[in-house]
Amino acid sequence: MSCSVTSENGIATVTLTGEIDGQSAPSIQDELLKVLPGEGKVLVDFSRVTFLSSAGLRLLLVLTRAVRGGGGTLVLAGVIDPIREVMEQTGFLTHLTLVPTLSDGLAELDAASAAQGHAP
Amino acid sequence: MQKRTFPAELESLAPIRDFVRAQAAPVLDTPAVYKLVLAVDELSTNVVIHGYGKRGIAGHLDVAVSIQDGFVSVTLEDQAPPFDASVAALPTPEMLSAPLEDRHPGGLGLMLIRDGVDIFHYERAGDRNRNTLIKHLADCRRPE
Repeated sequence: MSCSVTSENGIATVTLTGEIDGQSAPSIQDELLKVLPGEGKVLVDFSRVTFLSSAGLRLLLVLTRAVRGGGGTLVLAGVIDPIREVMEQTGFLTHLTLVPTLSDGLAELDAASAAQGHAP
Repeated sequence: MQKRTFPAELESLAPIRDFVRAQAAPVLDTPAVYKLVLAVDELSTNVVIHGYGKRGIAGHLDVAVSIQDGFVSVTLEDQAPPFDASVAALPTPEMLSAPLEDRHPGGLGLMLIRDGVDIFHYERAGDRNRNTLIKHLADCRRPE
């Protein structure tokens, strides 16, 4: 499992690769909580995540709270079908923003800032 | 039947998944393999963290996979204190529809175990917990 964050044009892109389970989720969480809470727009590239257990769902819960708690927006791109199904089954899907590709995610985040308009 | 013993630690989760995936992939379709592997992972995680871990006990997890006529069966055995995940409380529909900001994450693993397989059976056999997870083979794909 690997995790990296890059920032460009006001958007933080998180790239996750591999399997997110009870072993890997805590260290990813520690790493992301150091950088994400200050970010207004966060795009997570999920396309290379091949497995997500409930420990990964808990990670998403924490990340969502960290980003949205500061008024930010979180978008997940490229979630594979079996993971999407688990998100649906556990009621996460309706509360997350999923898009097919990274460029869809960038567009979504641009739209979000346009919609916020005069927001602080 | 293929059987392997893993140390009861989080580092074993990936090797356990690989082991079960390799056995199940030839006979189940891809979504079914994913669900079975997820159920096994959730159960193994519970055993490592709650079964052995919270009591500070070192131990093992025996995983056996057998392909039979019409189904794949995975049996997990451990020597942690008794715990029956087949009757533990699942999240309610209200809990599952709550916004993520207000969400309590408990019970999701139990739900993925029970929903991921066709049959989930628990028994205490002597000093061991024995969990059996069964997934039916799809209509036409049978072992050769």
